[in-house]
Amino acid sequence: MTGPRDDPDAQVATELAELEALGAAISADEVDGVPPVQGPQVWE
Amino acid sequence: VSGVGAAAKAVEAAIGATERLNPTLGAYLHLDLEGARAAAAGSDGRTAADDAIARERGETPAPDPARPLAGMPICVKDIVDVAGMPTTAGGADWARHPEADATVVARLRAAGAIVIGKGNTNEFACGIDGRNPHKGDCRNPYDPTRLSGGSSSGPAAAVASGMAVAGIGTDTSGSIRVPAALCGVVGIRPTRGLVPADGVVPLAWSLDAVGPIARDVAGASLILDVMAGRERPTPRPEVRGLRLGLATELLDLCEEPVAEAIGAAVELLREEGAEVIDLALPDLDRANAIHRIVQCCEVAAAHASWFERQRDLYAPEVRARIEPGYELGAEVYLRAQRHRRLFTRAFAATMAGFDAVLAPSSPILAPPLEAEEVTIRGERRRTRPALLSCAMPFSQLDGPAVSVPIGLREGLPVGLQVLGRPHSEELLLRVAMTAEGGAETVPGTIRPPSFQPPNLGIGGP
Repeated sequence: MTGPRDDPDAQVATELAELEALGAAISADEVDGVPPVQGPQVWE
Repeated sequence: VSGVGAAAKAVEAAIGATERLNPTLGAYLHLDLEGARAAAAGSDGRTAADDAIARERGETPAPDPARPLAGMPICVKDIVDVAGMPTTAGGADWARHPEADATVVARLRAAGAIVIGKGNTNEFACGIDGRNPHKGDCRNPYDPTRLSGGSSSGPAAAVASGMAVAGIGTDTSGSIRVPAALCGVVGIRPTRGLVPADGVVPLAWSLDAVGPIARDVAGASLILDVMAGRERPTPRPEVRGLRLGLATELLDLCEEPVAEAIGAAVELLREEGAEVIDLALPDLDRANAIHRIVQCCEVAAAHASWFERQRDLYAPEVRARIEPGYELGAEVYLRAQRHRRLFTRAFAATMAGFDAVLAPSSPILAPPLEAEEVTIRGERRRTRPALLSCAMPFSQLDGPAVSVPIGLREGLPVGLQVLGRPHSEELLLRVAMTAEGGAETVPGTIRPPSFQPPNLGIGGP
């Protein structure tokens, strides 16, 4: 029997769905005015 | 390694271990034994010439300070370029043939190190278990039926088993710290940017760090300084007066033997004068979410020029770590990088008043090769996220982290992770060196420079 672990497309779809859910959980509102990390960070 | 003939002796010892053990452990993907022997002869010839000049001047021969690693056999993870050797990145059908060393290799060679070969890695460094369906799994020197950890699997297993004295690894999510912990060696993820990453196949540019793997903290410290192109005194095992935070929520994720070993190391650090205090960290689930998004988008970008050609050649789980990055989009990526800055601020605020943080490197002892799941305190968990759980959240902070072996439990090594502010390596190494010292005082545990993995019959350190 073929399961999701043997099906590369299913694994990609599962991972994408997880990442989209994680992305939805980190809101844009919380980072209003915060620039992205660009180089090695110096702790503020 | 010092004195005339010492390089040949060290290289022959590494070659002997490699010939006996590599067929079982799969630590090396590519070997250049004759090149290593020639380099050793050259190193010993140079030492002999230097000694002769010193004697002519009436001086006592002394090691060349410009070659602090003279004759040291090293294993280079096979995503790092070594001139004249293929870089395969552990892929199914991917290779480049560099004419120049990566800067980090060039620095080590200039300091006298001798490359024995290229070390095994998870495919494109994308994995934490040390398994590779294309090149063969790397196995744990303590028990070849168990995982070595990865993705710097080859260097960790080679150093642990005497096939090399040191290794070059890379760490994006824990890929130096986790195999170092599972194989009982020291691994340093340096401050990001401290060690140059040119000539290294990228996994995720903003998370990748190149660092050393060695048998003990002093060796790892010396090699790190050569990699970074700087000279510093060897740290001393001094922790008196330091204030260390203990990441108790990560201890709660550990299986009991690991938690018990960490507890013993904490007691040792207290006995040596450090103050160790329970520390509640910022939201680590959020840190893991940020990390996964950033890594996926960056690895997709890094692979873009060859993804279509390689698409059906990747192992399914590796393709699943890459392909979603083409769908997520720039806004999500940048939002994650903005949250990364927030998490770093929160972590820095949490660490105010503390010199460093202590955590497990891995919550579990090396699991069996085929284990899809592990049981931790009665709860079933997937092996890969479990292995990542104590290392990945800190990778986005850009500060250093050290994994140091603190002893054996059930015959397998346990690693303590010491992490801190950017450029605090020297302080972390003082803590690690103190914790390492405890490994020889507890019955049944190890001292890394001389230990002999029990299941392989390795003779001599």
